[in-house]
Amino acid sequence: MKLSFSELAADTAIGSFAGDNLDSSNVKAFREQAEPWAARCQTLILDLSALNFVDSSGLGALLSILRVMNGKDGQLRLFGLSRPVRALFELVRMHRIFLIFNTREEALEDLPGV
Amino acid sequence: MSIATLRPPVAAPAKPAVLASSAILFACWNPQDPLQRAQQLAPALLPLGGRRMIERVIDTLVEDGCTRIDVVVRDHADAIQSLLGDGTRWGCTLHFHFLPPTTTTLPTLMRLTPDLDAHYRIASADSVVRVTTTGDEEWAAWQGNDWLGWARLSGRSFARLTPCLLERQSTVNGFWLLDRVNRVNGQVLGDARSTRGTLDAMRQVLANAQLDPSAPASRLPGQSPAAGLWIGQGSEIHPTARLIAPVWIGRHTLIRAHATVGPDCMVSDGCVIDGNATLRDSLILPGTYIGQGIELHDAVAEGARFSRSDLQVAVTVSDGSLLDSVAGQTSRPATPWLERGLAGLLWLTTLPFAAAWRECKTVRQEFAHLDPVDGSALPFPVRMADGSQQAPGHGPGSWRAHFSHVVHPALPAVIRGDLRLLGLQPRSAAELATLPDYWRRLYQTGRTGLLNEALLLGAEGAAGDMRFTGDALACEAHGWQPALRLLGAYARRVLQDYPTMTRL
Repeated sequence: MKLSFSELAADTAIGSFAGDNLDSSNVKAFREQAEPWAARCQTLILDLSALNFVDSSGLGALLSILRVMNGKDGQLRLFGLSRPVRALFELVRMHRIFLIFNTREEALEDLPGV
Repeated sequence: MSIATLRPPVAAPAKPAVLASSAILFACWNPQDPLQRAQQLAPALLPLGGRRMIERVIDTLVEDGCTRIDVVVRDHADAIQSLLGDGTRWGCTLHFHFLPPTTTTLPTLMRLTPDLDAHYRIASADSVVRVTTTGDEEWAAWQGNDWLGWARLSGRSFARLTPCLLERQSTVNGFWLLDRVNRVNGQVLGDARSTRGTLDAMRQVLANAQLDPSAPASRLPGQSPAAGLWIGQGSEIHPTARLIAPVWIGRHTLIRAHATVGPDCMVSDGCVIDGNATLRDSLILPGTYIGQGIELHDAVAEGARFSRSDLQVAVTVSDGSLLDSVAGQTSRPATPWLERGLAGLLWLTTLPFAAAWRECKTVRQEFAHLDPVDGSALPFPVRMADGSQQAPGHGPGSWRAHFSHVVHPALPAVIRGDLRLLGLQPRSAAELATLPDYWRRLYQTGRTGLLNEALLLGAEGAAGDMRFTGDALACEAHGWQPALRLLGAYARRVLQDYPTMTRL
């Protein structure tokens, strides 16, 4: 699992997945890389366009990041969900919990300083 | 190619003496052809002398007098539909049917109610064949051992194609049929178009059922019968679960607390819909577990796999708490003692006839089951006569030869419990290894037997679809009545062969 983060503005960062799945085999690596950014930023944006599969542990990891962000009144924004990932999100109703955008532009809209 | 660039309509000629007023045109005849799959090739759309193959096929059908053509499509459905239009160019009417995500054409045939007094053409859109016989019916178009998909047959024969079609007098039976087919064939959840077709068919069945007074609504515990709710025997609906009509629930299905099912849902036999799950516009195939709080819509689900028609995607879920099979079958049903006894009785009583009819010695042949868990081959021996692979129904005396060379010598295997009287066609381990996965799965938990529907249809040498259909139907728990009917039909054919052979 490789995640590349970049800082867009103060308190805002965007991360992109390099692999095509987020599951129990790489969820630990994902959390290790994402949690420091979640702790540091007020708005964290994740580009999921490379992902084709997310299992329940992957969804759990995303939820834990969301919990960190919600705990400090921050935002976790997701965009670029592929159709299989979208179907999985909808299956477990997570599309109602996360802020999901279709494109990067939509995800960055209304963000101050971006 | 747009419709405007096509040639002008071909005028419908006068009908021939033997009327073929309707036709079933399969434009998706060979979906398992790996070459077609790999190349995304639709033979129906291949250009042939400036026109597409399927147009030439329709020319032929119209020339034969067909005024109504039911076109069965799956892949490239939009392209075929926009190419053909509604058939006014030919002076006929075209009705399109989207094949559900199955590997056989049976579901589509089942949805068509044949006029028993009419004559039908069965046609394949990947070949132009003229069936020239003026007889009542003929499965005429053969090339080597492959049936090209062309036939002429009476409405009654067409009805016999799907053995239970004549029994479909009510929508409730229609439900049963749809469920039955889904149970055996719905193991391949493929592309979204197939999912959409299946869901369309399901909605149509449900809508028709609501209008059908012969479809009795079910009574929920403590409530009056509700229109549009059908609940199978042995199913349990938690009092706090919510069913929104139209909903059809199969047998022995469990709907747990606060689950919401409907509208437009069919939940097949043996499913568990766990608490707080929400289903709408979905078809749940047998033995599927839908986990707590799961939300499914516009979907066909089977086991751990679901396919969404709106997102055009099929997904396999790795977490069994979300979506899974209720219980993986780990054993094959044993041959009942009553059936073994019947086989013994049959073997004894027919011994003189079989011995007299047999023209060669029996030899030990190896067939195989597949292990229900890991799919490995489990060989078992059966004695049959040499050359016994010849299919019955092709030539005089073939049914009698089939009985004396195949069925009678193999009856001891039924007595031993290795075979059933009715079941999947026995195949060797090598042959099983060549079958596609969806077909091999039948052999993991299904019963292998001497007779099945495909045999009676004379489809042994026909297209793979038909052979699979026969195997798939054989997997069903027939019960004694259909089993005896099948045995009776086979016995009649063997006995009808007797005078033929004595003349020879």
